[in-house]
Amino acid sequence: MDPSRIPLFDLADRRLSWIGQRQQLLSQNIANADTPGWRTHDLKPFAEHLARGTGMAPARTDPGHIAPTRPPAGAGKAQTGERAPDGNSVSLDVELAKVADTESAHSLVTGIYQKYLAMFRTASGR
Amino acid sequence: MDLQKALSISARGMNVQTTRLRVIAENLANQDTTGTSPGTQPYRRKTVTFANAVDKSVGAETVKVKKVGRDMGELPLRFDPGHPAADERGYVRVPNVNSFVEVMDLKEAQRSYSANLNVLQVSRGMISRTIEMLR
Repeated sequence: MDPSRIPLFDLADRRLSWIGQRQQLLSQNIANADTPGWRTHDLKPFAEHLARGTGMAPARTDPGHIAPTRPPAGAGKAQTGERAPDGNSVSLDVELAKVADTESAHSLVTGIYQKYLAMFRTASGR
Repeated sequence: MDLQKALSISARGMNVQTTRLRVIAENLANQDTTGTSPGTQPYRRKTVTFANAVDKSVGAETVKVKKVGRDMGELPLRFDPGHPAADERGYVRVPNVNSFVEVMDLKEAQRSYSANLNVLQVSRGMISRTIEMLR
């Protein structure tokens, strides 16, 4: 069986690569916190990223189903924080909060992944 | 791998903040360095500017020290007729280092350094947790 065809593994794979890329961008922002003219970078939220690529959105098979909820308003917009006189828009606390967010998302993914693997182990009796 | 790049970028960020700290230390150490004879120039405050640069070995945009320049602001005069560098009116040119400005700059460099260190630790934790998935 090809493990990448199990939806959860594929999803975890994409989530981890999204987290890795975001971490790279955030570390660039923080390293350039004193570079004149530097503007912060960030990725679009993962939900938006996912909705573009795959048919992961829930299907409505009955008129009684509630429509999928939209992402919260304003998500994905670049934060329009204040800029320093030298044109730098990095705010260390905002960036560090994002880093903490990314870290907790990462431990969530790895945790779920390991639990899921443990289920396979239980099923195969090892 | 992106997380490995994040590690290198944070390390580069700490590196440039260290250069900034070195320049601040030079300025503070030389805040009383005057000339030794009339007409000679005292120490001028050094400044650091950073720039964003693509690092080929990392494969991503990092940060580098663009230039260590000199503050060409006016040098204050101090009345000290007994000084070897005093002019005929008894005034000495002293360095344009303001220790308050330097100490504030030092605090800011320290804060940026710890932010980079924090990101480095988080990235390292993420890498080791990813490796633990193999168990």
